[in-house]
Amino acid sequence: MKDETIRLAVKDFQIQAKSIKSYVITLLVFIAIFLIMSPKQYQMAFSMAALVTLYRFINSTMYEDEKNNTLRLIDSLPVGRETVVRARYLSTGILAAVMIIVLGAVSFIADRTYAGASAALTICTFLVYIIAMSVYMPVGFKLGYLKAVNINRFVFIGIFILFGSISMLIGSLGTRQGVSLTESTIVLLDNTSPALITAVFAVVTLVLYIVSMKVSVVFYKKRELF
Amino acid sequence: MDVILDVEGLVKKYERFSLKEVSFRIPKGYIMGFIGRNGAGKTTVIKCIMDLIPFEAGSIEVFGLDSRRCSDEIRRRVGYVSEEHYFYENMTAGWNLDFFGGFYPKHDRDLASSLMRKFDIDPSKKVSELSKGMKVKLALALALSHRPELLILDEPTSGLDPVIRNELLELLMEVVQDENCSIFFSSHITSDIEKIADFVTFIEDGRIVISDVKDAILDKWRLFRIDNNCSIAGLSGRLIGVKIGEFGFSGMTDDPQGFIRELTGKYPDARYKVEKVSLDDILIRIVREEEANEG
Repeated sequence: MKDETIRLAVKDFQIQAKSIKSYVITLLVFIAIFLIMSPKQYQMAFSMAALVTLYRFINSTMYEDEKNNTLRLIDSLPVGRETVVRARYLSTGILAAVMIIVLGAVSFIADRTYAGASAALTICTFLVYIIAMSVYMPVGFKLGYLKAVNINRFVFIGIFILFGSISMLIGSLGTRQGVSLTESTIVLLDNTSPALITAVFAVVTLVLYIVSMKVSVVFYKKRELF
Repeated sequence: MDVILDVEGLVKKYERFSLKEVSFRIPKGYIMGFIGRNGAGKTTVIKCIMDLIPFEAGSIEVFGLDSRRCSDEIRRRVGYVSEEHYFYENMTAGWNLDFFGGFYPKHDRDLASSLMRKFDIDPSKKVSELSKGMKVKLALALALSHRPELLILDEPTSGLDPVIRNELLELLMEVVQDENCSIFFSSHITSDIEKIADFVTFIEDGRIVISDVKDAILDKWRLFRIDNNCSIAGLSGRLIGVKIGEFGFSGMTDDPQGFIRELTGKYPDARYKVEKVSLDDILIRIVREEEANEG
């Protein structure tokens, strides 16, 4: 990976260093609200909060670039537009991975009984993150933050509802006895080697991510910044 | 003489404006002032040189390299300061210089720090707390910190007070002397260009009107003020930017001897005055001529 890509990805975190406190507070508030509403759905609470944090992170980086017009300065440096796109996918991917690791750890520690359900939820969450980012970012690179944010608000609300429904379905099915779908899912996940799950998950994620990134590169190369 | 920047027949079309076969060249080690009023096409030409916008026809070579095919290589060797200064406002000046400068393989952190000290920029200050003049200096520090071979400055002195402007101009002259760097410097403030440029190119309505050595321009062009016992209508049109007033008319020409011969041939009793011109006079007359032609 090029140094420029890493430099740009690190920048996305650096320019938001002062927002970390606000991100943590938002995360905790979201988790608290969901826990009050449904104490057993802590995984969903964390997942929702993580998705919101990720959404805020992408929005914030795009907003900082647009507000300061720094994409114009970056465009005049010896850096290809492809690198700019790759870096944004890298920084967002890193944040999503961190969220998932934390979610996986929380699920594992808090609910060893339903390890299969936790694994399913974690994978599902990650896929939803990837879908959300894969939809969001090409729109952002094509139209810029100010226009993209209005379109993506609806996209995210849709994904949010979809994600919530899936999470609740898995959560509720996982706690009931005698429901063949959940049982078979849990059994399937329990009996499948972690390496295979990881491989399938990695391929799906990678394909989605690469396609989205390629589309973003095409859009961003055509975008008139000046 | 080595040519560092060669623009040939550049055409760029917008809906309401276009660059019309713009051509000029800068020899290595010199400063070229690029003069034109607001909207004349200066920034568009610079954006084409930097490969920030596409163009329809013509060619641009920087260091002998094609601007479109070798834009990354060219950008590594060019220091560019745009008209507006784009930094992360909530980050410090030092962070911005380090971050953006890091994209240049030849970025010299020690040089960047010494430039910040020289320009009196506090590296721990947020960019949002810097004045416009300080932001220009920060942009210049960024452009110089990788020891560029060509500095391209788009209206760097615009909006600055005379003291800061003068300070910047002195800095630019130092750069040329110390660093063996060429400068392409656009401005509508002609006095700035008159102070430091070796070559001057005038652009008006997307067309290059004059491009020559500054001293040659100032030596060649003369302003004539002619009493109203003569009529402009009887003259061949050597004068440009003609202004007709109560007591006669005035106009500018780059062939004063030829004009005097024509004037005195036609009006042997003609009373006239010949004056030296400044770059400002030339710009104003060129604009007036263009408006008269459009009218």
